[in-house]
Amino acid sequence: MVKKRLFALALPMFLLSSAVAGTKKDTVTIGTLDKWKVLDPAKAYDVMSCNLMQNTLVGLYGYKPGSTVPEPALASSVDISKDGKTYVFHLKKGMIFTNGDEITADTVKKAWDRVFKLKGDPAFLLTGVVESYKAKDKYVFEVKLKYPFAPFLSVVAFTVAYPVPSVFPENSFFKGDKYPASGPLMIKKIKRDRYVYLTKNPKYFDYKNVETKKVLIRQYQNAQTIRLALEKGDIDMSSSLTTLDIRDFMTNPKLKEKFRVYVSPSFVISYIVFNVKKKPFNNPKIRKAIAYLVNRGEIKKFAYNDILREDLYSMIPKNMWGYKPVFNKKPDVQKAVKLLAEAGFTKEHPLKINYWYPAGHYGTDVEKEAQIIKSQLEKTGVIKVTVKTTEWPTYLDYMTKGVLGMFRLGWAPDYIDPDNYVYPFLHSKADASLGSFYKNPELDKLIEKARSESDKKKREELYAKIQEYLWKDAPYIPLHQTESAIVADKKVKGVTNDPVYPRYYLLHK
Amino acid sequence: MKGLLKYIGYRLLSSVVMVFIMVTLVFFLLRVLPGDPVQALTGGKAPPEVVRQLKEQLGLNLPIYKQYFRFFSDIFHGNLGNSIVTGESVKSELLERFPATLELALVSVILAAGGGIILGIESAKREGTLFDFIAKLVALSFYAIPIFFVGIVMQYIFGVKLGWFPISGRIDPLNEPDKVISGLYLLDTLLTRNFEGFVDALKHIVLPAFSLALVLFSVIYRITRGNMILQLKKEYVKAARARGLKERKVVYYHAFKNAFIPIFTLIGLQFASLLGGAILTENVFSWPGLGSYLIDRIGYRDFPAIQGAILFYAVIVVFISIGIDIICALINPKIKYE
Repeated sequence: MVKKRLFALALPMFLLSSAVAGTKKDTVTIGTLDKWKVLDPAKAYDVMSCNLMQNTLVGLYGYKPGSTVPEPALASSVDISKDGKTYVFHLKKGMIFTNGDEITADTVKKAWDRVFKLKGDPAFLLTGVVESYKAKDKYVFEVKLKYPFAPFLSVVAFTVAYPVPSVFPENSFFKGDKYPASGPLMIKKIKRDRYVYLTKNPKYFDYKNVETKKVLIRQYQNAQTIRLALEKGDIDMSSSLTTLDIRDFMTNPKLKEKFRVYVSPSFVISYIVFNVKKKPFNNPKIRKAIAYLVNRGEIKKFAYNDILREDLYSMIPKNMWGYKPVFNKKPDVQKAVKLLAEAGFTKEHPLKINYWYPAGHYGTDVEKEAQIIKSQLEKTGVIKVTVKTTEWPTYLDYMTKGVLGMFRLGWAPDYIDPDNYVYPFLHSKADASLGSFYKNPELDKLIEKARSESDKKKREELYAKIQEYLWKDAPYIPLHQTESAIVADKKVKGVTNDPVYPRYYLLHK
Repeated sequence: MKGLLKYIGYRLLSSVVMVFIMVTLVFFLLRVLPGDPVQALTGGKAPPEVVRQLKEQLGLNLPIYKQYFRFFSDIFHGNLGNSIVTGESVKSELLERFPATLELALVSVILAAGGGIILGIESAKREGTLFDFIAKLVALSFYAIPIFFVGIVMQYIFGVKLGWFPISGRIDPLNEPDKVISGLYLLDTLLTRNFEGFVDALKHIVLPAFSLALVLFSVIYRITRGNMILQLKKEYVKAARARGLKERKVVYYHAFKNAFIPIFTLIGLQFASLLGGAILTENVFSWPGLGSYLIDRIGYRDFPAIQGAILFYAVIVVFISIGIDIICALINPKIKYE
């Protein structure tokens, strides 16, 4: 009896189901696993926060869609002094935030004041190279550098250098989630960890070229649900799927009818690190022997469903200028065994090592990757590998304390320049943060020279030399460069899969 | 009654001590275990001197005892500190998340208790029959299936294939009530007469609530059945039947009243544990509750957020368990607290 009554209640619910308005037709809905942490250029250093700001604010410099060369945005031009230490930016006139405030050199100066004073997470990118800066005129902003720094415009194009509206407090980080926009889109409605609703900014200077009307970004807690949401039509696109699901969208004829997969190379790399101070990895012969044994193609095939990875033979990615493949392309067991023998290890007296990877942080495929690497090394009969893992914060702690000897990491760049793939890894000033503790004064000099040289050709030569050290000393073994994949409903137009940041403002239906 | 008041006073006092010990333990454990908020936040990308500087900003370079005193003096001022990850006040983050958890817990407990009790009683009445056997089997299998699996299967069938229900979130973002009254969307949308929003929120809660309720249901069913079988064999039931009372009244009123206290205690405790957030269900359905908040922040070693969430949870559990005791005492005057 009671049960019948329950059913009677439930029935009208089903009938009403079609009455829900749901998301409107002109809205492009994106599903993602990434969460934004803080919407303040002076503090934000995570992907999602930066992406949101890159779509709603503009910097002096920026990137054209698809390009990785910084180009003027708020600035109309820049004069760089001969010694490469002074940059004079000329700002465009009449650029405004949605609250009507004009963006002048003083706005930029105030924003940088905040960065220098508050010293948030990404501040070092600016404070490390900038000596002084001032608003020379209403529309002229002058920056003096500590030393000539070739990738400086790339740093200026990163959110940390963006001018911010006056609602951002002078003496503390911004705690709100809505601010006057200067970019192509503005935040209309936002709930932490749930969704961000963006609409077109009517006061954007390039308003005509923004095709987007509304973009809704929904945050999910696992990739499985995102896949179902795509199939159900709750969302139109996502770049947060697992390789297994992406493969499904590429091959399953039913899914192919409705969806398209956009694949493009990214600047994200994956690699193995050696702590060169820790035994036995302090011996370059052992590091090199391991480098000879890694078979990148096999890893791609068995750990990553044979998609979205490209073999990488240097720490600088393939699609960036300066790339020189220095590592061995084909695994060479004989050479490896010989090196190991020279280091005193044989089948009778095998080398016992631990290999670490972070649980969960790079998805579930790294677990398979670790097992494959283990089997590749053990093929020699001379190495015995124990695979170990722990969750991310513990992993980082172990890494900086030098507990980890041979371990897996990944890198996404802060600015698009070879320097960002060399300095943090090989310069002795940056050693501890990436766990290799590698120091080489000769190389330090080369790196410093390369980042201060303004002639691209000369820089290219310098990076070629630097990469040779990478192979000679092998403190790292580059594994793959990842490709990013966006799965989108065919109705969605303007999907670009941009290498620098997602262009929400180009999406439309 | 006087005994009860004294008992409540005693319980409250001992709870304060318990919560204090627990929070202290969490505080020190967090700092002793490996992992550091600044590293987790910058992902190992910031140079060492920057890491040092950021630690200083957050007061993490102070000796632990100083951090501890600061933490407690903040608590006494009703301040749980600011999240290291977002910079927002932990209190407001918790208060934003809690209604989602409460709403899901309430709905699933109502579903589970309703189903579990009714089926448990009917099963007890028919002890040993085919009906009883099947009900027992069904309850057992619900209990045995992992909850996230149930969730995914329900998402696929009722969400993707049949399209009846949304598979994630609390409400369609565009239907989100602008005015927050209680934070419970089912209530708020009704209060503001936003019926479209109400139906939307109701549809969103169906799948997560059902998948959560399934597991609870089987526990409640088992304990109801067991207790009812015991009660139905007692003399007073025979007497009631002999007096010619209707069977339904005998079972649902007289016997059930006596079987009720352990069932109620169980439901109450289950409810309390759900208020800490049903992590798996929240994850599968992207339900923005406390469980996913805590897990998320542990992943960043967000000390203030973790401490705040656990304190919040401990206080809730304490109040609910005291509440259960009071209600039990009121229902059954035979229970004496000394």
